[in-house]
Amino acid sequence: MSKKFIIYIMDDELPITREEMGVVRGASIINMVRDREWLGHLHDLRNLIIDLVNIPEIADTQVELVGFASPTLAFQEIDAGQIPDVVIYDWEYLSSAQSTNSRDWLQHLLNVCNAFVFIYSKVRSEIPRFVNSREFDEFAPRFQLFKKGDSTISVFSAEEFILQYVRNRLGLIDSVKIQGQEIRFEQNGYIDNPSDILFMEKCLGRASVRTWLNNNPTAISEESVELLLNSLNVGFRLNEKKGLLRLESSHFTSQPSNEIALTTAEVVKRFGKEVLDAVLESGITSVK
Amino acid sequence: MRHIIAQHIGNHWELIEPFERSVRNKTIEADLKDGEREYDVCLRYVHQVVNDGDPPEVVKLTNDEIEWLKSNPDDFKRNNPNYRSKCTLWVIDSDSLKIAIEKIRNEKRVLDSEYICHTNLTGAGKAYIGGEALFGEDGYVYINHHSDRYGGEKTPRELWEATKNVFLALGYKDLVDILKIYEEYNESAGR
Repeated sequence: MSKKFIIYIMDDELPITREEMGVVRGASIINMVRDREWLGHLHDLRNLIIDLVNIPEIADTQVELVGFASPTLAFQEIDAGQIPDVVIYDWEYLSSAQSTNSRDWLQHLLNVCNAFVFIYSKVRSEIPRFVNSREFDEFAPRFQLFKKGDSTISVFSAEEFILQYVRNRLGLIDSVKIQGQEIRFEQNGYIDNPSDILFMEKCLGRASVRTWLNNNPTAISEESVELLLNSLNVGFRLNEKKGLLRLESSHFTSQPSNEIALTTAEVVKRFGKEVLDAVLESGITSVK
Repeated sequence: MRHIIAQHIGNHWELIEPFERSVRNKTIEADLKDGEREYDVCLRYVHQVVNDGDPPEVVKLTNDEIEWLKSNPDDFKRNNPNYRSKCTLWVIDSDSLKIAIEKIRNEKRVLDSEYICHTNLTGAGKAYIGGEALFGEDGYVYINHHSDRYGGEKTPRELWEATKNVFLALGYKDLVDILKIYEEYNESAGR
């Protein structure tokens, strides 16, 4: 029997009842998101939990979602052997006198388990002062900072980023949620995973991806990704004999008679997205 | 420093905003992300060049890496796992040439948080040009204009030549133009 995938949500403002004694799981989480009153600024967290609860594997009990009103309750659970795979960790804890408690709890959390931790905060700016310190260096690959409801980080909001991370960990790549839209992901010759939209954003610029999304693609498909890629108005020249691909506008000496023109989509289809990135960066790159 | 920059660049070229020369359809409004304009994250690592010198904590290319770079700069950049940990970023604005190691933790960046970018060196302000520099154990400094924010393929050739003159005038006498290595690679490939 494969190990259950466990997600912890640690936030002292979760509407957990006194009877629940600071911990919710299973049907209680569904009741919590569906029937209870939430503070206004937690709207995005509530929607994220709804999306997580709707992951089919939760109904199959392959994935467990547990909410905690305080980190110390989560640590008790970890001590009992319930090790999380992903943690959504609220930075501000109202009962802590100073944010150093949040820092110490975070450090303890990173030490006692190998979970990936999303540090999730109303106020993001004060956090880096602590997590940029050397004591967090070894943990850097295992945490990510987000501001609650932040929609400026990429075409994914903070919550959509977290949701997609969980979906990826579970191998669920048949759809993706971006800018509030659920979009089907189909096998195509360009990208392997809906998270590669982030790579497209890096290569093509956010405005291109936003424009593409605003046209409401029903799916991330061969046709729609091709449209997105070719929105980059750049030409490429391939010299197959030399095994070199260059930007049409590059300064490198060219042999036009030995070169063929390619579109952006053709470059990605033939050589992959990393080659596109390399040739945009350097102006020329080798291809096989 | 200002007069050297003015002499070679400032009297002939305009300062540009980040991404102004980008081939990737990027703009400040859409693509400058959290953590990418803060200078304080790299403050103690920045070398404001007066006369030569290594930026703090730079890790130099070994002789084997230098040979690799010279024989195939594209393969070196794409496949050397140490590339980014040895890479430094440089920018020239109206005041100075600034150089800093790229590998500086910047947790305000959601993506790529182990590294700064060129706009951290400028506070997302204007610059003439930016790129990468690799310091070799052979004593040479290897430079290109690879910067999505201030460099890239739209950089005029004459500006690049002027930039090299700034480096030379500021004491980097042992300077290698990586773009020339790419050109030589381009010409010899397929033979």
